[in-house]
Amino acid sequence: MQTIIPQRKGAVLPTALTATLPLRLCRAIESMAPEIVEELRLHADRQTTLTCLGENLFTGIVLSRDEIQEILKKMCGGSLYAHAGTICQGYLCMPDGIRVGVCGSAAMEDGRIIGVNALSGLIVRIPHRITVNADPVMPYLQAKSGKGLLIYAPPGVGKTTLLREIARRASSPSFGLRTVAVDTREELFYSLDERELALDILRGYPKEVGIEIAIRSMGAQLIVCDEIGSREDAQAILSAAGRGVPLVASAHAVSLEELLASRTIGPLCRAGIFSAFIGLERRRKCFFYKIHLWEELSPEDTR
Amino acid sequence: MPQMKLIGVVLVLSAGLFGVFYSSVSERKRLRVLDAWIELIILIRGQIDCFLTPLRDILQIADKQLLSSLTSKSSPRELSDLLSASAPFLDDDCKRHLSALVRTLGGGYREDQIRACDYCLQQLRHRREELGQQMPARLKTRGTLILCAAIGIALLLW
Repeated sequence: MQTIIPQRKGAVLPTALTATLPLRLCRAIESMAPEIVEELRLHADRQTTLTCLGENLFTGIVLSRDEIQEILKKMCGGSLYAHAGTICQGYLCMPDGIRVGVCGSAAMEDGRIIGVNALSGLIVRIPHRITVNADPVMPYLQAKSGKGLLIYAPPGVGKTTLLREIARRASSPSFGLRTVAVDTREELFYSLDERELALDILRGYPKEVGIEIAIRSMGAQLIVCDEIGSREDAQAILSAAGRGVPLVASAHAVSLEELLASRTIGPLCRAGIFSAFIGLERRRKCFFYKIHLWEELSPEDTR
Repeated sequence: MPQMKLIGVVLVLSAGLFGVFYSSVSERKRLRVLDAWIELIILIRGQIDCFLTPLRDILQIADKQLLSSLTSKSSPRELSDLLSASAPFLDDDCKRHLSALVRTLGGGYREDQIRACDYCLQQLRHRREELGQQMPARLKTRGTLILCAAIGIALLLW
């Protein structure tokens, strides 16, 4: 079990974000002086709220639909069409690892979303440089036997932060693995900028495509990817494991039981792809993690 | 005294000639600016259609000579900067179409953007054709008027 205490470094909001927000909202947030802003939720014609260390705070600022539209345009760097692909999937990637959930009315054609109209909300997730000690986890990464790790937790607990730290440690000279991060949502690469890392990042690639490229063209010794869960992800991971490349991944689940019962992830676990499962939990300022080894799980769990 | 008159007449006639020259240069500049806008919109349309390139990146990859015919800034970051810098050389119709395009670009999805570019291109090309056809006649009229006015003033001053 490990405790991680986040500490704010620098301004309350990153510059890339403040450049897109109305001044009155930035001032309101500054005046509230929150310790760490994890999420900023902008709603059309409703109050903007902040999530700070798991608590929701109300700013008292109400933004109009037009303002939300304008903010989205700025977040897209003045070129909304360039981000249409991710907006149709419900999110937008900004510089510095900021991810924005886009909420509105879906415009459909032939059963697929071709655009989002009548914007009603933007949910901004702000990453923080948090020092995490991943050392206790690293021994469970059995790179030579091709077995990886699976981190599970509910959303917003810190899976990506831990995953990022594992990627850093694995690709550092002390561990020395050729690591490829498949960063579909462009959240992982944030702060992985040290020159000595043997790390390649495939940004914006769908996981199944990224994993295939990592194995075939990049000679990966370890693949890191965030938030697995779809059938295509599972297929790609099985294919990677079949070629001896271990995978460190994260998935949404509250408990190990829920994870193993999942239709897509359960079979991966039972296929012996992961040597250990790391469950994250959070209590206000502190994060805790539990490590479950596959061999130590009860027969009921593994069935 | 006749020397002073002579100098005055020469000055007035020189001003007239300069007026003719300036009028011709500014007419040609108007056409060049319009051509540059048409070329830039073709580039923007192609980049959006084929690569979904963000507008700022398009301005960075655009030909520097093309941009320099629209603005004196070395690296304009926004289309609105280009429009305000080139506005003195555009007529009201062109300004209206370009302002509408600049407002639309970046705020919608690919198909909207392409349609907006196509519409603006169509209007600008039409205007360019009109201006091109009218230019020789307009240059001749202006030149004649300015020169006649200069000669008239010179005769009155004599």
